[in-house]
Amino acid sequence: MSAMLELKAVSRRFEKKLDRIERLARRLGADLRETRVNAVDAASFTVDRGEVVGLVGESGCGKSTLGRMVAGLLPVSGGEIRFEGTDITDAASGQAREKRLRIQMIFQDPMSSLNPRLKVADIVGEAAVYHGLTTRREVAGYVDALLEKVGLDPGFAQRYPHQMSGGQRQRIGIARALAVQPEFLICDESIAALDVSIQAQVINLFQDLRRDLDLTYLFISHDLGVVEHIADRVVVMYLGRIVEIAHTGALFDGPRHPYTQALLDQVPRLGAGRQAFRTVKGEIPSPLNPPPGCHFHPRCPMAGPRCRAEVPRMITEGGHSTACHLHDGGT
Amino acid sequence: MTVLDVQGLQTHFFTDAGVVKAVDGVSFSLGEGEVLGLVGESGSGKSVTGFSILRLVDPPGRVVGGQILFRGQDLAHLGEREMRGLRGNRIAMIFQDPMMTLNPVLRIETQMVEAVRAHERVSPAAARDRAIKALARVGIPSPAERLEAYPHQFSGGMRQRVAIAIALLNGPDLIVADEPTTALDVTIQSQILAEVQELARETGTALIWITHDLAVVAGLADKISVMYAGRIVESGPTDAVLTAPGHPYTEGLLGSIPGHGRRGERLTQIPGMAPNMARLPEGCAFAPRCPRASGTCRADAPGISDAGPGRSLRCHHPTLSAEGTA
Repeated sequence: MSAMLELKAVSRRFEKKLDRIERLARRLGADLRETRVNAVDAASFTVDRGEVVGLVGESGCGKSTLGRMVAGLLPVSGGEIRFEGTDITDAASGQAREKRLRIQMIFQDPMSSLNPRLKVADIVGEAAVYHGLTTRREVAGYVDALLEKVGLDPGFAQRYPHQMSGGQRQRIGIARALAVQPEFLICDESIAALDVSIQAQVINLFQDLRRDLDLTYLFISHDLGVVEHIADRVVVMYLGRIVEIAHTGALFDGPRHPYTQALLDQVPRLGAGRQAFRTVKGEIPSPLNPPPGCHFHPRCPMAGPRCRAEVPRMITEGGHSTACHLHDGGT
Repeated sequence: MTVLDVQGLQTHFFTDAGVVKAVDGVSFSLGEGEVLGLVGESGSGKSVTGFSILRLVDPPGRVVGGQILFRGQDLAHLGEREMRGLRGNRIAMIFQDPMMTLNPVLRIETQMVEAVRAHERVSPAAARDRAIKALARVGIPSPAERLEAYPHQFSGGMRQRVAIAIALLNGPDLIVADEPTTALDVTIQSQILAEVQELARETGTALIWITHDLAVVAGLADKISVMYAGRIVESGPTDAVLTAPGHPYTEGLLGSIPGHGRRGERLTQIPGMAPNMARLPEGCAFAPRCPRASGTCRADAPGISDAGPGRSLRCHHPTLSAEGTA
């Protein structure tokens, strides 16, 4: 079976070029260099139809950048993204446009992703009318049906975003994404800003929608508990690179990469009693100046000389992929 | 020995939309070296409780009732001058966002030395020494050099450490920490939790840890109080409350948390949403969302009842009998 979404060595660089004055200053001997961040460095993975893939990592690891590239909101610097076999790497191309409508994104903060001057009816209905999925005459009923699908009273259609609570706003964000009948949803920290009890409601909604509408998700989150709950497979990122990919059960029961191990170790858990919090040494390095070799080696308890010099390859064994020298002939 | 004893604290906000009873009859006490987790969702009044203890509530809010006994002294009726003498000295506060609490245009050194010399007549050199010790204690590498830096030169986790170091400067008896690790990454959060845990143990500082994250409290606090709509609905020793919650709200909160070996199952969700604090329902504020609510709940607000050793509840139909078993 071919994958629904396929990423091949997808990269994203952000560069700050020197301006004319700075170039002149450099010619006169100033120590100025172009700054470059490899936000995403050769990320490859696949998502099968009907699957939920969790993308986890700490802030600055590139998980949101990756999500935005898949959604077509950010151009790709290198590599290839294929959706149902079609190359959609160049977001502006005709074939990509058509396919990209099948991919929709749900953002973290519904207050800043919903237009405060539009009524819910327009926020949800606008794209559907534009793409010819409904007509101006029938859009009201179309929106009502969507609102019901996400668990809101159709009466909300006449409200503005500021008249709703955070949980309700996030449901509007979901309804808007569903309005163009997507098959693939990218949820970028979509529940991070919500209270615990509201979070549970939205997670349940995601599960229901997945079943009813046969959706596939790329679920981006820093919250490992949520990802463990909702995902079938998990992709772990650290400083722009993928370090581990595995089925959720395998990853949480037997993480192979030292970073994943440390991360799982440190999640505060219920039912663990009084915890002695164990810690990984050090801070997350600046992505402007990442350590050579394996990015994790300065914080890794197992690091050896090879880790400092050589970027680890991704080794796959029984559906469990790890980029660590420990699993590739030792450090 | 009891460090803090809060009895029937009421903090109300007098707004155009009506009186908002943000904190309405909150009581708890805290001994030396004890960690209290104050848990609740947004708008439950947990932060206002913390601010009330330090008397930092701004108008239109006001502490309108109750006692805040700190080492026997009632902070609710203390003069502003005496209160200033206590703040940052005997009682310190750590806020969620250290970027907001550190002055961006002053070096860390200036801010720390100032905090020491505001309360004690010591030489600048002695104050500087104390600042270096405090920074070292919270795990900041090469503290003497870092004193020269400005807040923006630190990462988020390091800034929060600086804020904690400032709170520790004068060896306070009580620290009120308001969501101090919420904005931080998991690995940084666990470093800070480890350090705070050690501090409370070593120095005997009492700690109020305000958070929405039950899992953080589970590992850190000795006892917890769960707030809903301005009231503490359940309190008791952490393990007891988390393993056998007595209030339907606590039970619902625990059920809402994903992970913990219930992969893919439906989460038990609390229906509805948090009430409008300006228009609270009659009776129990949780009744409209509660699966156990009856006519009594909608008519009368439940009082505080005993629920086993060290535990208390505000519920007409607790999920727990008085002996403390579920």
